[in-house]
Amino acid sequence: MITFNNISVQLGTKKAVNNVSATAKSGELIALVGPNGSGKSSLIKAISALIPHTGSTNLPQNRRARSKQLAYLAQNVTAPRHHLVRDIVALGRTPHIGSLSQLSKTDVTKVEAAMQACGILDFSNRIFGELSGGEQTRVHLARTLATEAALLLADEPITALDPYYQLSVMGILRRTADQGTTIIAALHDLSMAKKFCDQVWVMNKGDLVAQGTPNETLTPEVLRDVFRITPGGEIAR
Amino acid sequence: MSQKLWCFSLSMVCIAVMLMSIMVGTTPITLSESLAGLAGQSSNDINTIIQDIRVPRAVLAACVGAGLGASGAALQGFTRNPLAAPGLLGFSACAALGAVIALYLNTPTFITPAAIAFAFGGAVAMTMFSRHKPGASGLVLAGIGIGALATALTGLLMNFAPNPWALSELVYWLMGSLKHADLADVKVAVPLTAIGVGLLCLSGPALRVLGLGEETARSLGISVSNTQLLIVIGCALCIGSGVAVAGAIGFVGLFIPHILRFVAGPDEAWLIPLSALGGASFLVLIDMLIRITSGPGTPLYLGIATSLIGVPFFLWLAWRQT
Repeated sequence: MITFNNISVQLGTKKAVNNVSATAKSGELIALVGPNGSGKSSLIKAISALIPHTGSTNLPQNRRARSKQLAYLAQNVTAPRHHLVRDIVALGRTPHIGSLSQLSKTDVTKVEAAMQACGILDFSNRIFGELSGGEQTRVHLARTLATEAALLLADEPITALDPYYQLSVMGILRRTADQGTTIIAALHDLSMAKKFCDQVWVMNKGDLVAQGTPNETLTPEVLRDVFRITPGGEIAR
Repeated sequence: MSQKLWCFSLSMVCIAVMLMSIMVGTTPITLSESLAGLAGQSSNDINTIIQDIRVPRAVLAACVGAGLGASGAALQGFTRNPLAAPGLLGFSACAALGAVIALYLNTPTFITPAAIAFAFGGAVAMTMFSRHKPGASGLVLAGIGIGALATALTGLLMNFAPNPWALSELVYWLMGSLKHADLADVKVAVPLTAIGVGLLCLSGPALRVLGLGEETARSLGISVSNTQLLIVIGCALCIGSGVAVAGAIGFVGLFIPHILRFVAGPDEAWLIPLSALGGASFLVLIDMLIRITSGPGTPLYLGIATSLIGVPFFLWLAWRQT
């Protein structure tokens, strides 16, 4: 169970996240939704301790200890173009082995299991730069799974992907959650949130304005007031 | 070929080039005589040539080349910028400013401490100016600014040189040379460069993770600021001691890591030691060629030769990669 209390983030003069508190149970896949600029990415980065913030979480304060419990998939993810897929996924084991040690046989097994889970074992020896955007996202997802953290925070993991890879990545997240990992994923696609997620947390202007099952939260009122759309997918007047 | 094999091969190349450098010169000396001279068991003349002139020069060339190569690889890895090099980020300019001040004040004994002190001063300034934004962009911006300031101050000193001879001394010194290499220089440069290269090698595995981006690296437990500190101190030691004994030698730190990345693979953790070995071999070889080709007149300066040889090769490499 991951709990965070009164998380606030100040970005310049703007309060990007405003006293957000919530609890995520083990094995839950949570969609963090909201319009652009609502504070989704800032909340994820604050929980990951990547940006200055106030408030607390029940995650370890120590950087190394926290990195074993929390895996982070960035929005604009990158990697050296000429590296092998296998080597990039193996970097997910860094919190466990440190940066100066070599992978043990156990680590290699876990890296292969993560690649298997993401369906990239077949191209594990290919060059990262030769892969498509969807394949690269799955490589990074495998890298986060290789960490075997209790909490996975994914910042818009499907935004730039075609429908096939959107479904593929959401399927991987669903199966990972079913195995006990808590996942909070910032999403823009509300249909994906409804289809795959246990919980939906709605953010608007830095506040967490609704949380519950997709049916409880994605109501016509929320769609109109937060997203400025109708249930039929039109712009609300 | 695996990186371990590349390391072993480049070590052998470096040793071979250093042995050749000891044998070659105005007075050719055979391998057996050179080895006897190294042990002090040859004639007095040979012992003197080997121990007091050629060995210090070869060791210093290797030392300076290793520092430049390792610094370039670490800076390119940390900034994820293929143009990053000790010259671009101000380390060389700061060290050169220190040495030029010592020359300007006519205190040549202070060249070494001044170059090292100014390289460290530049490193401290870079760290301070980038402390609100630790990471690649902060270091690059601070480094370029401080390097430009050091270059301008060096130009100012040259502008106010008291006489043409003092100016020519400054200009020749800035071209880089090992012709005055001696054992005293070796005793200063070798330990400082060894510590510097060691620190840079320690940063290598963190650089591997930093390739994923700073946020992702931090989420994996890597401290960007600690890695930056290791690199800044390592570069200051390598470049400060290198500039102190050999003057400003450009380009090696830029193109040696590119060549080795191209042939031996992109893994930063291996690229730093490989670039140290590659830089050492390259500079010993170039210094030896200068000694062979230069007649009794004005010798070609090392900094000029490294650029003349390095630039076409670098352009060819850039063209091939494109």
